Amino acid sequence: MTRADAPAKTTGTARYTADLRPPGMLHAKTLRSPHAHARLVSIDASRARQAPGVHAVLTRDDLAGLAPTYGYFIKDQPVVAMDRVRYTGDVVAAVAAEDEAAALRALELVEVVYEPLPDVPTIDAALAAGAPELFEDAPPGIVPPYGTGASGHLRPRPNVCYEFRYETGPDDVWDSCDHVFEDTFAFSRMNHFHLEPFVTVADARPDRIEIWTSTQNPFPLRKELARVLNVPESRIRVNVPYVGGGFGSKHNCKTEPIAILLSRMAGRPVRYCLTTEEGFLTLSQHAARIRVRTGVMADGTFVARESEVLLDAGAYSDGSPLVAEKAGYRMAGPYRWKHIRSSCSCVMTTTTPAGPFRGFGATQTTWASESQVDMIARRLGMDPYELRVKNLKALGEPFVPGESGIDSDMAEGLDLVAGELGYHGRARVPNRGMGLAIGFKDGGGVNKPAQARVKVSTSGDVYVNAGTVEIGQGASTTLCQVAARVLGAPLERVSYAPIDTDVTPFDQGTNASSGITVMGTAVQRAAEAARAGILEFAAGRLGCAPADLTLEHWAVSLTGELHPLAPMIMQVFGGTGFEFSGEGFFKAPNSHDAPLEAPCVFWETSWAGAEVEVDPETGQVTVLQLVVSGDVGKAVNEQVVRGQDEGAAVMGLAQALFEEMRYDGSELLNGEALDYRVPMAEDLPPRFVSITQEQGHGPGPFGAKGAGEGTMLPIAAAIANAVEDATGARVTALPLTPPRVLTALQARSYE
Amino acid sequence: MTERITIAFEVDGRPREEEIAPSTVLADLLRDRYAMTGVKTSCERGVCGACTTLIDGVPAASCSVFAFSVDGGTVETIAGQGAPGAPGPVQRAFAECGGFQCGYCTPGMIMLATALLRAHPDPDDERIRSWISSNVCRCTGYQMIIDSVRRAAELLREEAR
Amino acid sequence: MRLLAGGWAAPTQRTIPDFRLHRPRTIAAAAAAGAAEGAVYAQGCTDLFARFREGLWCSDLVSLERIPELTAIRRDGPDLAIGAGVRHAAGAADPLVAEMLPGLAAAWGSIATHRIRQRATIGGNLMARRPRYEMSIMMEALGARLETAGPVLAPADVWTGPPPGTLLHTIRIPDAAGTWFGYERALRPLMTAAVAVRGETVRLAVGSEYVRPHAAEGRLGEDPARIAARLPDAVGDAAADAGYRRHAAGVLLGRALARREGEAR
Repeated sequence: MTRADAPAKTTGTARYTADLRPPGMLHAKTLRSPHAHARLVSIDASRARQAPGVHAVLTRDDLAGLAPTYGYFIKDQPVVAMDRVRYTGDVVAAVAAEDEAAALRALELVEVVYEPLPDVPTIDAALAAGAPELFEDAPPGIVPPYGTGASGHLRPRPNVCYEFRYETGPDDVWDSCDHVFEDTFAFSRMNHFHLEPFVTVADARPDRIEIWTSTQNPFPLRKELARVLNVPESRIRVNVPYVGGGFGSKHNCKTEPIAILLSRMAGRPVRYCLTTEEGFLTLSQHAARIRVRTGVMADGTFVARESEVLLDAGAYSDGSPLVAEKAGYRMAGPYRWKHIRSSCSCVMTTTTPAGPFRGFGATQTTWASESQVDMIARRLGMDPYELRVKNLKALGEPFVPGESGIDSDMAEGLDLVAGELGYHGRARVPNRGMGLAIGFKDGGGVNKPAQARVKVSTSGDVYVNAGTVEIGQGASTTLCQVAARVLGAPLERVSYAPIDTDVTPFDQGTNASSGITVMGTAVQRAAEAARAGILEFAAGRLGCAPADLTLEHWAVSLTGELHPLAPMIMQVFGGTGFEFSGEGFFKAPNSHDAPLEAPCVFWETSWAGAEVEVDPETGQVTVLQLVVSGDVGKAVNEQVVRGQDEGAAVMGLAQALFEEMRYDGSELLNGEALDYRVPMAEDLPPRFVSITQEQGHGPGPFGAKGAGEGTMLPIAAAIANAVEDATGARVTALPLTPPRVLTALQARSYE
Repeated sequence: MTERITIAFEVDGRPREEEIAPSTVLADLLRDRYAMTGVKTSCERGVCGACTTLIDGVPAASCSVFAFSVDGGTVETIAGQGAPGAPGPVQRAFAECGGFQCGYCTPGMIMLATALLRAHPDPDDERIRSWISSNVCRCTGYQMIIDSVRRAAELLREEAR
Repeated sequence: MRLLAGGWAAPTQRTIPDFRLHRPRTIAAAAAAGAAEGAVYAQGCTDLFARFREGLWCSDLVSLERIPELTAIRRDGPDLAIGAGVRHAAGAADPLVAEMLPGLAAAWGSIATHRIRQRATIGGNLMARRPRYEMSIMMEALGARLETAGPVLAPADVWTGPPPGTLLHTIRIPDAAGTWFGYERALRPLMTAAVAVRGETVRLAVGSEYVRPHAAEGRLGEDPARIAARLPDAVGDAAADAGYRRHAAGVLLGRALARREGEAR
């Protein structure tokens, strides 16, 4: 079925925040730290304030009356730098002027004195004894409630802002293991590279703040802005037009605080739009180092796994504690263990802050876990496929004690992908090989509520009011499809209302692949409530019970006879008509038995198979075929889920082979569109197959499960596993660049 | 000192005459003066291709073209390809095949495909990949864009019949 | 990004300074206009806008679009003379290039992207001085002479910074007719190898990701790895060290030379 946003997006008429031009709008530009780490000795913006065309200048001297730091769990990131700058690109001052050129000229007049401090560019540097600390005092932060076996810790050691731990099962089982394997993996860091930049248009009046912004979570953003600005939430109205991609980056405060403060100072609307280069200085994925120790029996039975994940959180915590929680939790993968112990720490470095990125910790852990499964299989002389099948949890088996049951048949998915790839009985050709990997993560967010409203007009037109942002994932289509199906309405009569926090019901955010399960259920319930109101009304008019009626094409059917609703409504409410409305709500029930305080809504499951050819002379890896599959329970819209699966897989492919933010110390070498290589159409493997699985066990509307992140997870490991299958060489760091692969090939020949 | 020059050109078939500063960039002229916000800008250095328009029939990143250099020429944008309710064949194909997600690269991709299909009405997959590799799509993984271009070729051929 | 006194800021297309526009019709007039301090030449503009985004100042923009000589490709005895304003797509499709140096035609048609090849020019590519751009790798291997309104430059001279106002008008490939050219870009962007064989001389140029190209020479029949071993340490960068680049350059050179032998058969 064609997407509802197709007409607007294919004709260029879709409006994004970047397109808005309210009358009198000013333009903002910011001055950013040239140092990776420095004390801010003085800042003098008096000349900038006098510059032509300038209406407002914001520095640390303008933060009185505010709570000027923000963050998810830990409030450590200042609106503009206060005592220090902590990475190259940290914002020091902001200007609003008649145009961007005037703003830029004014920034030339801002005088700043920095006193450089030693930088801490890497995880190792940050954890070294005596390393300079990014924060002298612990910034204010919280640890959310955790259930059985899980715990969180603020600042457990210097330069670590948060640590998550999880443990289950007795640890004496280590003694029973026939083999214990310990391996360490390195995970690279990508930029989100969403095409619509970070952008906000703010109109801050003395009594009212209105913003239009490219965000994924308008409601938590509103709450955080209210706290930072010290105003009631009811004074802040967040509008979200179409969003041109985010992949996790557009959560919480990004361009919003500066745009609002400048607008408030200038008394005019302000547009603050970052460039691509500034995007690289705003947020990234987490680089990571992952140590995994796995105990197994001689026959391959998994027994115990202990792991330590170190995330490079960059200079500010942003979403890192949440990512740490997920990375620590997901390390076990979809396998049976007697004992699990994991920890994940967010290590602060003087680099771009890291935060949510498609996969959210699971990309990191899947890389390590699924690589190690193959390594163990080879050490035991087993086929990696067989080792997986032997240890996979069964359909319905809880992930860990207190959790919900796994709602996919993991072996069935693996079998499907292996078959499509031609894994079994593959011909042994030198330097060619195949690899498999499984992606597995809890989906639907932690303890995540969503509310929705469905309204139906006199003429049967349906409005879906929900806070899930249409960011490209197709939510505006699928959520309308859910309402359409409940109300028996054709999709073209259903519209997805623009998001405006003053009127849109609350939603926690567009993340965690939660759209169709969490919000979808809220919409389904809202539509059912609206339908109940309609049927009750009609039943009253027709003198029957609501249960006697069915609703279709804006008529009720009573024993086969159709009664159009519009005339019935106007008879009662007059010619001006009426609206039926229903509210819906969903949240996974709280449970202290569940490690994360509520059982997982659904399990996002995926499988990948890759065939590669390795050039033994250069180390270049060529992917000959890539087969990916996600289980979506039941697809509400096949086109939408296919698009999510393929897009995620290609992001994973790029991470596996070449895409990364490359640092030299604290200096980002490729923070620019040409030097930073993202995948292009020519990077697709000659054979690229995506299969939408509908195993039918989803908890969402009509059996749906979420998609969007799953197929990114297993790609890198599948490719690395294929490289080992082809050559016997194992690469444990991403991306699989030719020098890295060649080094592994040479190490193999020395063994 | 600001110098002004006058240029005359055609945008989507409509003649335009404009007084501009020589430093005016085509994408900004289209977006800011004509409110043609279907021309998207992203990287603003010619790499991503979101702002692709056809200049004298040739795909170009309009963020990296001075407006003065289109004097006497033609510019084609997404707005000239059709509108909601009356989409053109390439637009219909992208809608039908789901060759878009967030939509930010879509106008540029459609213009690229339009130029490709004029030059090669029946392109093979390799040629489609090669042309489409001019522009970045961060969402789709490209396969559904390639499907859309193939479908657009069919629709254009049907229309020509 | 542009480094100001107080830190980095991000110029955009809307912060391009107001400039005087010059649209000369001859090379001499262009060179005269370009001699002014703050003058900038513009042709395909694909790189120029990136430079504006990096804070390039410009008081006078000298558009080279109206100078026909700049887009000519001609045979000059055994040499191939290419106007600096030739767009990549035009050069790749040019019959004379294909006849005299088919390897260059093929390589030229493979760089950048289809869209960029329609606008970007050989001269702009060379004068942009960006490691990621490819013509300087090819021209380094071919030993091209860069003819400017002033002195003749070697491709390497571009990297050490010709004076402002230098107007490149012709790229001369000496003895093109007697040269075999091969280009290996399978490892891009990590590295790229261009190979020119003239008589018994093999000239290898290697492009890296973040540093300028470097060349090494040897003789036909010599072990390609030995030739590549002569590449300086400066071929190494953050993406691959010199050891890897020399090793892989030897592999790519060997493949190019094998291809040459295959073609000769």
